Amino acid sequence: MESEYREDILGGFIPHIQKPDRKWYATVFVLLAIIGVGLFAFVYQLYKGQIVTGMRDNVVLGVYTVNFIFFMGLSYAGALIGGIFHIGGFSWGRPMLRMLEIVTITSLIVGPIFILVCIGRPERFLNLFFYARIQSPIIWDVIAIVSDLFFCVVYLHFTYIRDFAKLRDYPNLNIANWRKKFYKIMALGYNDTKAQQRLLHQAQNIMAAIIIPTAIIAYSLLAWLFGMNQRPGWNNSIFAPYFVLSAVYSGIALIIIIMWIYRKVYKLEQCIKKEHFDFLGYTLLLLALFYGYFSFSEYITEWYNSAKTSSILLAKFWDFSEYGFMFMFSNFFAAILPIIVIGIPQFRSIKSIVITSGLIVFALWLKRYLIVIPSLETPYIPIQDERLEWVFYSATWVEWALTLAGIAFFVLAFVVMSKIAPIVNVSEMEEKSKGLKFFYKTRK
Amino acid sequence: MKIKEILFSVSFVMFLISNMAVAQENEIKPKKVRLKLEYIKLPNGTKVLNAKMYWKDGKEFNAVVDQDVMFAAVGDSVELKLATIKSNKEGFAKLYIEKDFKFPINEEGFTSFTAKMNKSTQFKRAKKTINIKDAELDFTLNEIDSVKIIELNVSSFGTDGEIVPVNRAEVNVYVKRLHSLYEIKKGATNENGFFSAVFPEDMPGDSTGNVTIIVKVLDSDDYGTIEKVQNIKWGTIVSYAEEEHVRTLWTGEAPVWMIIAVCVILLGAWFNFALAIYKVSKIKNAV
Repeated sequence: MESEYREDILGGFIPHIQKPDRKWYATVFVLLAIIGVGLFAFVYQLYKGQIVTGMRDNVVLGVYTVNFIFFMGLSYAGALIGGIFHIGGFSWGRPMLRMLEIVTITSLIVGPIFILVCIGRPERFLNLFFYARIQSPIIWDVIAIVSDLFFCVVYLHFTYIRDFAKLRDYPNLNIANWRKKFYKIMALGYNDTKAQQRLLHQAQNIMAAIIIPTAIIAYSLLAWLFGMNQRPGWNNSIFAPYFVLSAVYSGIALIIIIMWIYRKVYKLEQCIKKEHFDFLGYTLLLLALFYGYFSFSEYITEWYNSAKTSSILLAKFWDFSEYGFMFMFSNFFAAILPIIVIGIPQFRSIKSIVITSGLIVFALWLKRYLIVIPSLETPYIPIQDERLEWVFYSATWVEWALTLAGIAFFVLAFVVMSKIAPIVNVSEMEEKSKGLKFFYKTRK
Repeated sequence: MKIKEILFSVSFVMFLISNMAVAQENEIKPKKVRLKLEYIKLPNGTKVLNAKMYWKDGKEFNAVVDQDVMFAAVGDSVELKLATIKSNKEGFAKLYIEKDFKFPINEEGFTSFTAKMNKSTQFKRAKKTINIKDAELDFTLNEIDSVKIIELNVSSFGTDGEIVPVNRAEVNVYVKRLHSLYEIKKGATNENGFFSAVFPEDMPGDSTGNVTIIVKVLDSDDYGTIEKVQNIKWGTIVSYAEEEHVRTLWTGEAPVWMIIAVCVILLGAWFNFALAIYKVSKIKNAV
């Protein structure tokens, strides 16, 4: 039964790849409209200056930076999990490999855009390369992101080669001619010979092996950008592993949501099974425990610190007129809820896991907000001008418009990519597993 | 009826009394001020009258700020009003008097210095008087058989103006350090007004060996505080030139280890990337 299904996997995706229907166009239109509003907001910001944002001299970073950290986390998570699945040969993870790769690339594009809109003079961005100081953690991050983007784009292409070859050779495919040419070029003359299989497999292994450490290093560097600052809430040696853990955590939560959407829309119940949700749910449970442990370690260390400013910062997390609700939601959704919902079998279902995943993604965005904004609002040396709008940060419509545009771009990438090729790596699915396949072993 | 009237009258009177008591409690009572007065003779001969005023609130001491303090000098029934100075935010009112200014003195050569603060709505009247006799502190720095010796004399004036050595004056000998004074020796003068101290051999000086030696008669009841200062090359030479950091995080050139680490990581990653590309480039021709 399974082998029959395997042979027909590509056929199942063909209707989604062929000429788009009205729903698809409507979705793209809505997403483009949201991106358009975001572009308008960006032009407005360029014209009026950063004054149209909530950022001021005291709180110099805002929602843009929160989004940057959040999307970079998703990208590194995608790269890391995808790389581990590939190298480890976990056959049960195959349906989600391509989704992970798309998450990686899209986030790697969206994330740094938020830094470009955050800096007041985007035309000066190239100065980062012209006047780079290798001692600066910002330059480390720039190098890491650029390298990672290169590696991931190439790796994504490698994972598409066999599917492009299949689509190139698929009979009676109702698509435009330019797309047929596109498949032909991108398939790189692949014909699935033994030698070609070996070469492609080697290349994929090499790329997967580079991507794993690159993702860890790159997200650690981002964590050090904060950890190396002498600021309450930032100056913390735990930040690098904490960031990597949060990235993997949010990445897995997001992939559960994406899997669920595609399972519903493309009717992939044969391909994406309940066990996938269960397995990823168990991973969420484990990560929730680790996340809770790391969060507690972070706050207890800060709390025990005798510095007065640290106490002021932590008091803001307990004050419901300041960040109390955000702090409570963030910790409850990310550290406690998964333990209840996934840990107790009676509560565990696909829906509950998906809803929990959504709340985890939201909670981890809030966590990034709590890392960036309250720390900036609580400097060791307070500013002299104490106007409230200078001391406290509040995001403006411009920032929210650009945030929504970033999310819309992220969704659009999935909508477009799933139209170019199957959202599931068909060739991998059809291939018999040579590596670890404990999913099917344990679930006979 | 009468009883009612009496009761009413009594309660009315009690009401008035209680209100008066409350009103009295609400009135701001002038606070008692504590006043300290010091006489300091600086190395250049300038005299300083330093009045410090504070008031106590429970266990807390608070400075008396922005109040007029009148200084006066009295000697042999002649009172000389010196000046009126406002206290600063630390509660100090300082009067600097020129080296050659003549104070009135009594038969024994003493001058009574007075600092006085008049009563105000906030504070009660405060006054302090000290009796000071002018004295001289001289010191010489001698090196005998490689032993560096500080010799000092404290003297005053007799009733006929003759110089009289001061016996049992408490004196301190210091070396000036960056943030404080390092005490070399303290003790009392002998009957000849003499005191000596040996300067330590290994006392660090500046880049040329200079040290600043300070001697003091400290807070004497009769002579106040007297200070004298001299510079001499008695210290060991210390080089304070900072070593130049050529390759550090804050200079233009990154540390070597960092450049090597970055190069190794990048070369390693990009080499593997190139290898993967090479493998894929061979796909087309692979059979």
